Amino acid sequence: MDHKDIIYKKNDEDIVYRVIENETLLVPIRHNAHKMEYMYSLNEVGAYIWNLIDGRTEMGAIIKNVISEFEVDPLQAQKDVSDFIEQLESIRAIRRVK
Amino acid sequence: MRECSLISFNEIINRIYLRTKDRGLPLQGSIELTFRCNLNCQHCYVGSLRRVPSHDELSTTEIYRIIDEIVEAGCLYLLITGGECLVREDFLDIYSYIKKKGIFPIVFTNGTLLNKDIVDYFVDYPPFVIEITLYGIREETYESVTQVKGSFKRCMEGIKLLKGRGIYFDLKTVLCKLNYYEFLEIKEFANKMGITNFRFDPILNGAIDGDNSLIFQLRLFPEEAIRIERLDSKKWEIIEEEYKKYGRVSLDFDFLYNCGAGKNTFHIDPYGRISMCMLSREPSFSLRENSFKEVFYESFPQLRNIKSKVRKEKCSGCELSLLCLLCPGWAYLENGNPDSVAEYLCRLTKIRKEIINREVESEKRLS
Repeated sequence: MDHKDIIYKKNDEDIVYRVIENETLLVPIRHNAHKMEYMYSLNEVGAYIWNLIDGRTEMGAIIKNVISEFEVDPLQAQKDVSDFIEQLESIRAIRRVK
Repeated sequence: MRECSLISFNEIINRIYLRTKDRGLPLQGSIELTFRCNLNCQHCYVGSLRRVPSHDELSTTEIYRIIDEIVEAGCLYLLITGGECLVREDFLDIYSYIKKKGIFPIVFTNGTLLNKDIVDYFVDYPPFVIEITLYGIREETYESVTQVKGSFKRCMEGIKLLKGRGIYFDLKTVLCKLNYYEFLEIKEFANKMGITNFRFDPILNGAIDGDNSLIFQLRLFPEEAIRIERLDSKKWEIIEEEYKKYGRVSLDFDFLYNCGAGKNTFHIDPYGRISMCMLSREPSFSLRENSFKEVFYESFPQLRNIKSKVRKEKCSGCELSLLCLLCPGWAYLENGNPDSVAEYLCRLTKIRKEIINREVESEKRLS
């Protein structure tokens, strides 16, 4: 994914974000491809990106934020954010709105 | 870098338990939405409370507020039960609220009130576990327990409805003098239905209304309960393993509570009274007057510090103490006193041990 103006929105009807004891979790709640006894655990970067996905912020801005927050190589950051977004889409945690 | 990893429910629970083992966290809870029930089971632990009118039960809004509090405190899975939880007209609203907060809901039901609307919703937003209690495999047996004509047919329809819509459910049975003889057939039925987690309980605990007269009449003798346990090789193997492993370990019983009650668990009754677990109901605190966190982190630790007198005197040094099913909750329901012993469980544990000892001796002789 290299379109930096793309915008994503969370699928609140499908997945719930929870933080319990420093564990950042995405809990699937809707019947779909997920197995109900599983959830997703986000690391610090994942949780940071998740919180930036709000249906308004473009991907380019999210990548910029990750670079400055975690002081990572821009190319690496772009790849990591793209992979993560792809994964979130595949589990229906987010959907593209622009 | 892997920002998002798939993780099983058990893995995350174990991880959090380990991290919070010293101070506790209310990861697991149960809520009785009502004591009312459309059945009238003779052995039911709710007893006469199932006939108490609904006016003092928590309202939908009160339940929402409590759910918000337990989510904030870290609850990850919640048993929704009763009475019969589907008796409440707002069941789906409450279930939906719990589900959409990211709690894994477990629903215990008799299955007789399942309808298309509820099952459609379960298809869309499945429970983590839904468990139906089956009291018999024949109408006359089932209804001798439930005392409601037509209940067997309705239960079977409920099971069919879930099965037809592809919702995974579990079956369980509670065995007493009215239905124990159908155990193998109930188990076989569960097997045919593709149930992999079938469970049964041949040991009735006391009632929460303090009247155990009927329960003591209907409860199987320890010998009979064990005979049934041995009919299920999987269950008996687990019991045997535990006895071989822990058969010579005794607890000191300095403290009354040696389990996770009030440390990892909590229980809320239909009137908003919260206690440390579903069996250990007193002392309890009103969530209409106290916040969940106040009770869990201020009141429960004080209860967990209560010292044991009777159990310390009678159970300390008993090499079967780690295997005995007795806990303060069981004792409270049995005798009205959490710090007491239950002769029934004492006998049951000793008989189990004798049988297992004989089996071990017999195996030794054969080899």
